[in-house]
Amino acid sequence: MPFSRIVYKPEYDELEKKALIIRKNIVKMIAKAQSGHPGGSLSCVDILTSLYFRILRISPKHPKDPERDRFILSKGHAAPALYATLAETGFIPYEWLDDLRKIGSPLQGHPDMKKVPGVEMSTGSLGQGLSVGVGMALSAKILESGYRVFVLLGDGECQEGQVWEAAMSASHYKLTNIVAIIDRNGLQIDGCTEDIMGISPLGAKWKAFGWTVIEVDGHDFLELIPALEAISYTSKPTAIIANTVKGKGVCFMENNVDWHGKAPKPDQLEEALKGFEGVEFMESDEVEVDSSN
Amino acid sequence: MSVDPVFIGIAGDSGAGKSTFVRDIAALLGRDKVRTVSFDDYHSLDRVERKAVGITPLHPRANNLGLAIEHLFLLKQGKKVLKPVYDHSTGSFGDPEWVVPMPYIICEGLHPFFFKSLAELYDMKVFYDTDLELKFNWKVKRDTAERGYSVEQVAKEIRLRQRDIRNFVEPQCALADIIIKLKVSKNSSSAIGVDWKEPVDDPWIKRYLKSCNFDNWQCFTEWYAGRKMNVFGVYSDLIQDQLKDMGSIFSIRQDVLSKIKEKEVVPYRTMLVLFAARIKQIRAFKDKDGEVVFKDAV
Amino acid sequence: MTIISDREIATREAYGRALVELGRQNNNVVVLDADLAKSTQTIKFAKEFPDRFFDVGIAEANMIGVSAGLAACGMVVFCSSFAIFATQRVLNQIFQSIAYTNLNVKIAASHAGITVGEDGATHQSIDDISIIRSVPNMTIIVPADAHEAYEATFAAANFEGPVYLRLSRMATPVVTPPGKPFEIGKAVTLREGKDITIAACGIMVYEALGAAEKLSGLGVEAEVINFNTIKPFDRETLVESLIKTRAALSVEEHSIIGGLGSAVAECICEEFPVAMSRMGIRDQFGQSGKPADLLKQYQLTAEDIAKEALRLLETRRKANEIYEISASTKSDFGALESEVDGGIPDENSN
Repeated sequence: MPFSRIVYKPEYDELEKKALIIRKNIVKMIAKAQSGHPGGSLSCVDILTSLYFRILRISPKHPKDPERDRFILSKGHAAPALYATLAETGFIPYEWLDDLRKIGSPLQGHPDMKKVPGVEMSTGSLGQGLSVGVGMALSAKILESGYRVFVLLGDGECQEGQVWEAAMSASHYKLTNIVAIIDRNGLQIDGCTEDIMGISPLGAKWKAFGWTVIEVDGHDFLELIPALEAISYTSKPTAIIANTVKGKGVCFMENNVDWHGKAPKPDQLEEALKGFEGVEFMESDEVEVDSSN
Repeated sequence: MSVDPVFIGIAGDSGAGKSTFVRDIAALLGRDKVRTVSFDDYHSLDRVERKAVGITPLHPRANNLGLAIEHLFLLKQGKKVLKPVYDHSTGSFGDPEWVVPMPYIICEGLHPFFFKSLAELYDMKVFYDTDLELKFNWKVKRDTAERGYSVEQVAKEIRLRQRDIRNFVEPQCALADIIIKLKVSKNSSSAIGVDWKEPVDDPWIKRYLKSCNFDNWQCFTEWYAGRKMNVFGVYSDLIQDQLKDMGSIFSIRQDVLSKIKEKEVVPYRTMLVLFAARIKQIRAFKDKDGEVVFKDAV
Repeated sequence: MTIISDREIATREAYGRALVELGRQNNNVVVLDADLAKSTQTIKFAKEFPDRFFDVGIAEANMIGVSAGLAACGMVVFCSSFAIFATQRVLNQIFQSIAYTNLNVKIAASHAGITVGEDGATHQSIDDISIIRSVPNMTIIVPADAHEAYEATFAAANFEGPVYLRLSRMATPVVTPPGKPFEIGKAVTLREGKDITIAACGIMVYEALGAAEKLSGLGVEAEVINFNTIKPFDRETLVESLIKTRAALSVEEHSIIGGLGSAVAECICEEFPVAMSRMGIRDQFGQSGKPADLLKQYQLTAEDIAKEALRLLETRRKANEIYEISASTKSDFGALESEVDGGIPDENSN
């Protein structure tokens, strides 16, 4: 809203640029680690970009501010996307990205809230993030606090029963401060979600569980951002089904299930980076990392 | 293709007959060309919350007008917006819906041009004023049937609302281009009479009627909300041919016109035709990017 | 020290009362339950603080996740269910969302062990300690009676980090004084003795004390230690006692695999090897029956403990005899060897 927008918010073309930088860093860090999950990381980049640069009320200078918005990456295997976004937002230094998945590195294969500032919940085993989100949203209600909770789930993750336990409880407690974003890239490790264990019609399922459902193109900021802002005017928890392309941004990874959990070889990295030519690291201010916990 | 929509704002108290009016206008203009945005959807508090805070929806604080400004602004730029949806039957919010720009966007509600920044967005602003007696009858009818209130509740609510109406809704008439006043007709031939008021210094209807050779239509002037207004009283029946004649200038569809519910209420229908004509003219102006066209000028 | 009162109170009831008191003292205490509020006694809290009580329905996994979320936002969370559902069913959730994150969630599980009784094996949790003990960051508290359960609830609330609190359904005799502050990680010696150490936890402490009385009549003085905290395990108290008694008997209403028995065995092997025996559920499932009958069936009464203590002491005596024989034969061989080698004096022989 124009009145409340005191904080600078980048325009859409700037967001596109941010997303490209994040994509480039994801590919680079996974190639360097020689392990990781590029497919699901690349598919959710635009969602993370919208959240971190337009929606979330957070500050890298105060990562523990009790009034901050909470974001939970329930599909923890997309950790590289989260790390690259946190680096771009200024929560962690860029150098950390080089040590992804290395021994002693804070950047674990799946996010660890104790090691990385800006990570709100340790995830990895799928299906648990939304429950945690419900807990956080409930706590906002008890504390009469205004923060909001955003949870990013994979579409394959919706096969987990706990997701629906959590969905049921969010609408039961009438939580209007929680958003579940489903990264609907249509693929899981073993193949298409609809072949492995069909979850369609996904929107109708969430609706039946008492959620407001908004379906958007998960790579279009013009749809993503209004949908994420819609949290301020619903009487129900909001589920955003973001239709995405797995491996988006790297031509040979797009919609290819083989790239769920495989790192690119050096020649493949070179090919992938061709797609990001002209995209450069942006120098951000010096980052102070709060490693007290 | 980017659309530069014609923005029409219709302000008026709840139960003034706005929704009916908008529906009929939309039918006249062609439903595929019109998008109605109800400002009721921009309530920032649901019924329970309003009760807790102790304000009526008439209070601007109970409405998210900032969001409305943003949405209208985006629509004006030809971008789609995700609009909240307020469900009157439950008093809470439903699933938001996408609004894509259309040739005509009609915004109706309690505060469509409450702020100057809002008022500036419209191509035409209408204050829809309805006689209290009429309003009472309509509101009781609607709220008991569709929104689940009892008659006593409605009567009590109307009483409680009067102050907020004076404070927050009525002042908007000072910004309106047209004031449409519905009242109980003095003429026995139909129940509703319509007063069409426009500022003396912006006499569209006068010119229009002249172009239709209706310059025998008498009007008087009065001071209203600090402005001198021409008031055209539509009480007597205009004969069908005259109506047709008036409409034909801007190709108002006769078949649709004849289907309108209140077709027996000729003053209302006359007013609709006039209104549609005016909006179509603005559309034509935008499309041709030129002068306002009148028959006598063609 | 013997039994303080003849009154029988279930530990879950004390927990329920403690929660209400906690709720009054601390506005950040939140309680969750999974449709067992009446059984776990969280209903008392629910009645007084409906805004801070959440019954998540029959969805334990979600309950653990929601607890983690609440704790991550600064709440002190107690979540309750039957022990079997609060551990086995949600192990991965506890592992990832609570233990790995070291969040302030207290899992207070009632209806532990076979004394659940008539509900049978599906509801009798006999491996919860074992499961939780293997999860890093977890603290395990097993109160011996209602007094201890009451204090333990407060101790758990004041403790930073995840806690597993094991409670029982059955009303059991009180064996500890009321109002004694609970110290996490410190075992309590309830009865001193010099002949055998009985390490017990939960409702078995009462049976162990009974066994000690019986043994005393037979001239055997047993030391009874109440291991109210299984993890971190108080090795110091155990070893100190073992230096005196040189025999250990662990008693628990839990599988002998992975629970208190294992903790004691690990300590003994690594720190002070002595004779030891474990009592508990012997790698089998429970069954329906009256709690008292079940305790008899699974040999967990005072008599059984006394019998086992005597058996252990007898076994140790026999073993010592064999050891001595073998030791003397060995020294004979040694003498023989030295003779053969040509009279090199054996330094150790004197």
